[in-house]
Amino acid sequence: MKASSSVLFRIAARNVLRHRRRTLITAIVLMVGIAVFIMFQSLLAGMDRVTIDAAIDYDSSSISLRSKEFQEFNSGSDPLFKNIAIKEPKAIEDRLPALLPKGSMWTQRTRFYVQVSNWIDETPALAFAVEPEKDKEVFKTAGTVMQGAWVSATKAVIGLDLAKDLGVRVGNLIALTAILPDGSLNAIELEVGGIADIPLFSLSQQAIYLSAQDAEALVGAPLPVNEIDIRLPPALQLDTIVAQSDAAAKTLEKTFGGIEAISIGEAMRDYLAMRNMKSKFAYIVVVIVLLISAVGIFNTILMSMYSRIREIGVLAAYGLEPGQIKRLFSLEGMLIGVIGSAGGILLGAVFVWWLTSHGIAFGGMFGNLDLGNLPKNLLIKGEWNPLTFIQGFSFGVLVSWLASVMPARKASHIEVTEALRFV
Amino acid sequence: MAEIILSLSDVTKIYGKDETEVIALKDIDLAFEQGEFAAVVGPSGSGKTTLLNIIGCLDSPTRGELSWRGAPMKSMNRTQLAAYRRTHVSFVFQSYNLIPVLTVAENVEMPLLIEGMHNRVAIRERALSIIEMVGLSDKANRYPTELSGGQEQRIAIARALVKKPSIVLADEPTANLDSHTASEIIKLMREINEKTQTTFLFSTHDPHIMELAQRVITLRDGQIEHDEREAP
Repeated sequence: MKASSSVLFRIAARNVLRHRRRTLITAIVLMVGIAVFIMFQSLLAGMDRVTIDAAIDYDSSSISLRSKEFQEFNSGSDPLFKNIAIKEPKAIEDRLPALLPKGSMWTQRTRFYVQVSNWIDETPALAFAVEPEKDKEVFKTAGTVMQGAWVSATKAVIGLDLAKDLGVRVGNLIALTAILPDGSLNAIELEVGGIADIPLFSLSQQAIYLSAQDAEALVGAPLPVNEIDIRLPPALQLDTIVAQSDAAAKTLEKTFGGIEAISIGEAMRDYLAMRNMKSKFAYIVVVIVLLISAVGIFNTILMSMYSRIREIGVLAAYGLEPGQIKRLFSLEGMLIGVIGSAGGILLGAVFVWWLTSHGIAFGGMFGNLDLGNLPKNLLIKGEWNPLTFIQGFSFGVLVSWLASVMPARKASHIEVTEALRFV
Repeated sequence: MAEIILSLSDVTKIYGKDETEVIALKDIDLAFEQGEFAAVVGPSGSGKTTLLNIIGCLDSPTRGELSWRGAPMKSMNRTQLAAYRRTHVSFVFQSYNLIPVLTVAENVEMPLLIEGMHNRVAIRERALSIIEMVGLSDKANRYPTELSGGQEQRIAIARALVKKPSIVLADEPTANLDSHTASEIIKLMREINEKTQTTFLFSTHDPHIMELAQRVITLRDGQIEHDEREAP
């Protein structure tokens, strides 16, 4: 028979509590490190969320169905958008309810280049022919109209920065010119019905939204539809959103030949790749902090060992085995790790709570600077991610255990007679 | 004749090498019976502590053989030696060596816990009965720092006895105590020895203490000078 782990645990716990100040200081270093890691990850997840949400809400939707030839249009080499239109969009829409999760919404859009003029100056712009009511169910662009109203017959909505560039206001007339499939030009006159402060810089600077009927007047009927944009039901986690849209896009591509289903994961592929890089950076930060903590724990356990050499001698004399002495000191290290890590996740939870309820406004910091995928007036709110808490706690305990291995080994190798003589 | 529990045959202990070599014990032959109350005496450096350390398996002989109830112990590894100490031997140290973070009762319980006893009620009952035996029932929940030297040594004796060892080794258990307390402590050990038939082997310088022993082993320069037993 020999001492059970519970006995070793009890002795270890007493020793950890014996040097309260030393334990507390070491645990605090660990606690801050883990809390910073959790906060950092929460902030990064929040930034990703706001970016992906902005892309879904204003530009890409959850899944965008396009013709295979659409990529050429994107490169600007084929302005004759009729060649890249979706064939029989209505037939595709009719089959969507059976293929998509319940609660999914969709709308047709026609995206094409135009020249927009205020009768004095002219500038290139990106026109979106929309179904005004259905568009509201998929995109949130209508909600960003800050002056005037959303798209209606003969009334267009233009991005705030484009309106500023052209010096137009609600009620002013603008002319849109497009190149027709036969190479000729056509123009229509529309009233600025609304000005939208779209959070995406690219759209605020060049988007014009008009009704499908007005677009037909410009490019001819029937209007070639080059996008069917789908919004999937909301999900809590960003990874779930991306996974769901990827899965649904695969199903749609399999079902509809000649159609490319671009999921939000694919549309934001570059951004998401960068997200992984940012996440790695967060791990590097936590590794550095934990290394600092490890040095503290190593020192604490070593000091604890040296101050208790006689005690180790007594325990060994009474039959505690070298392996058990090693376990005793490892347990002390782990206990400090558990205290620090538990404190870390609690402090981290407070940080994340603050971030989720208040957020950090980066808008004022960057002004009107184009931040690429990041939306304007950037307010990043934290995200709760239980995995980060589990990771933080596990890292803390693991590092503490590793830091205590060497001192524990040293303690187990002490000669009993020397230990009992130690002053 | 009582059963021989421990024997040393031709035991020699040498520290250091070549020029720094010190012979701490030389050709020691000894045997201890169950229930003996023996003192090891001799001047400083005569090898008393080394002898107790070797008997307690805290140190190993350079030459010679140590046997427990006839079984040689030479080939035992550290873990096996720990198991031997855990089961058969207890120690009382000169400077008591109670664990300061544990209460008196917890200190006394410690060998039982190390031994692997699980029943907490039984452990506490056994500890309290031993504490009562050494006359410190009212101090059971105190910490060692709240006790006098004599009281600490009584608790150290209680700790040594709680697991009912076959042999208690006490290295100068009275060296830090005044003569009155020292004599009380040895009397207490003798009482327990008579009551429980636990073998006691203690080292001392004090002639008054020696008088209380049944057997006195005198060491000089690492060798046995006398081995005298009290007439039955």
